[in-house]
Amino acid sequence: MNPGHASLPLLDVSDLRVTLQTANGPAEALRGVSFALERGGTLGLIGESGCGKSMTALALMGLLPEGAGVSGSIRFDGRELTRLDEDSLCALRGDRIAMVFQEPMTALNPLHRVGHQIAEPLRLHRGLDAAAARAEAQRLLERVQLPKARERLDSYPHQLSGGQRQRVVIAIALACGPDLLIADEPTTALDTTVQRDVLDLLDELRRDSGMALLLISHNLDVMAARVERLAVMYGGSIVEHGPTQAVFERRAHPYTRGLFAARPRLGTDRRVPLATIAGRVPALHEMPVGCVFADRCALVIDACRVALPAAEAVGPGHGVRCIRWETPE
Amino acid sequence: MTAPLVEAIGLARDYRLPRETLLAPGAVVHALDDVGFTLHAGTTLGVVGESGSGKSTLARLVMALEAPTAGRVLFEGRDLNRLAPGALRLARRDFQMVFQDPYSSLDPRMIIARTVAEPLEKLDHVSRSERRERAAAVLDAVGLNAASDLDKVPHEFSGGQRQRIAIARALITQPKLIVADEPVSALDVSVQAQVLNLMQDLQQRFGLAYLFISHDLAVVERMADQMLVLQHGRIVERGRPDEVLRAPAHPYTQRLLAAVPRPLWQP
Repeated sequence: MNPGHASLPLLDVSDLRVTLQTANGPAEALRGVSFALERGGTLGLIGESGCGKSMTALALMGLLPEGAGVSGSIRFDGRELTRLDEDSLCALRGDRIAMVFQEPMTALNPLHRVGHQIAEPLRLHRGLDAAAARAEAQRLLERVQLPKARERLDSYPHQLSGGQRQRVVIAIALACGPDLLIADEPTTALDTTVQRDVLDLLDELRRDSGMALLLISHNLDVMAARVERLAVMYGGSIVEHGPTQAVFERRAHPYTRGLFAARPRLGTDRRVPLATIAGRVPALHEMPVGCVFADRCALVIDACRVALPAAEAVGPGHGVRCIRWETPE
Repeated sequence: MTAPLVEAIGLARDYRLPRETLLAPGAVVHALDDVGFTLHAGTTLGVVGESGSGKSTLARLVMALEAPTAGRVLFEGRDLNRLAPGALRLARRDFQMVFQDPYSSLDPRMIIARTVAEPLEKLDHVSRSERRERAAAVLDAVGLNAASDLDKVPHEFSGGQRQRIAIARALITQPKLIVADEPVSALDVSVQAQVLNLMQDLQQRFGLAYLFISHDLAVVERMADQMLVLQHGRIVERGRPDEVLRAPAHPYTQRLLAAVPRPLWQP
């Protein structure tokens, strides 16, 4: 789905497939996901529960569930991640690639002081001694704008608010100066004003350090405000992918249109019901052969059910997996 | 104008924090302070505010799940906190609650027929077969398949379907008020739209009133006839949502509105 680039992107995912062992037999959770992310760039993965966005993040981190089968390629800074052993992955995780999760209370260890948890990657990956790691941890807490950083080093997670905890999680992720930060719904559990502050912080850190950001969210408004490129996921594949503004304006895939129409927006007529998408997401083990969205799509024809549609170009750097995208609704 | 369905007058609720030292009592938090409003039958009052603003405390007071430190909640003119326990239990048929998380608000081991009909057990001398009939009727009203779904357990349903089940359970006593605390916040966008449309539809059909709590300004604008903005337990602004959100008067409301993300390409 990506146009060719002269220089090598930081992250190049190509035809990534993940098969999970489920109670109903093997099921394909990712069905050929491809995207690239430049050094210092931003990409958003958007979609609803079960679309494969978090599975993509786990695959990048080498943290897939036991027994998962992976094919395709994940090239990070020229190295093929799908063939790395656990030790080499451990060396990358928290160092070159870091991740921020949705729920900061579960991402932090409730039994350890905050300073200790920030120091851990520094001691592990950088070999700093206790004193140096503590000094660096304090600098990081200051960097993520946590007030009273020095005192906070000795706080436990339960003594912090949700927004403060997420700042601590971000400090841990940033500790080793990663090239890629994967943020999976980093602000979903936070109030809107705190959400804005945390996303502002991520933007600022990214601009300063030149790290790339892969932002995973179900929130269209957050995507519009924060990422340059957007990939819309449905049923384990990227159904539309392009510059964020182009995806918002063109909405080439019928699922993208449905998703946009369903979202409540300020200043709309409340007497007009929200548009909904008929039916529901098929379960993993009952994914159809062809377009996964076919059973819910108003534009479906027989050809949609034959094979997963190939990516077609809609505009510059903008692709869609739909054979009916030019048909008006 | 007719008498309000719910009237809150000078509501306050204090909580004492756990003591930090042996010798001094813990500090007191004013979770709610001098909150008053009226809610008329068949209408929706939206409540917005951030975590800790007192939204959920307000819900518990209106549901008479706890008593206010000061002030009164009148439901059809009766002070719920002055009712005898038996009378309060009977009055509860008129107000029901829907919670945020449909995964934790349903008993995972109970079949849907029982979950949905449970409020009747405490209220009426309704026969087992009538309970099942009424459960089937409310499942039908929320768009689930009564014939096939009554004997399933929660894990067989998606998040959106579970929230429909929670709404069906709230409807079964034919209430006049439903207190909904962030009812769509845990749902995906397309599922959220279905549940919001369903709630509007049920309001039309059954003349329900909603106390609708949400942190999402666009959702409140869509659902509510009147809204309150809570900050630190106090009402800082109130009015019609379209007017409040078009021209917010209080700095806190302005801040909430300013935090709604704006696209990069529209400066």
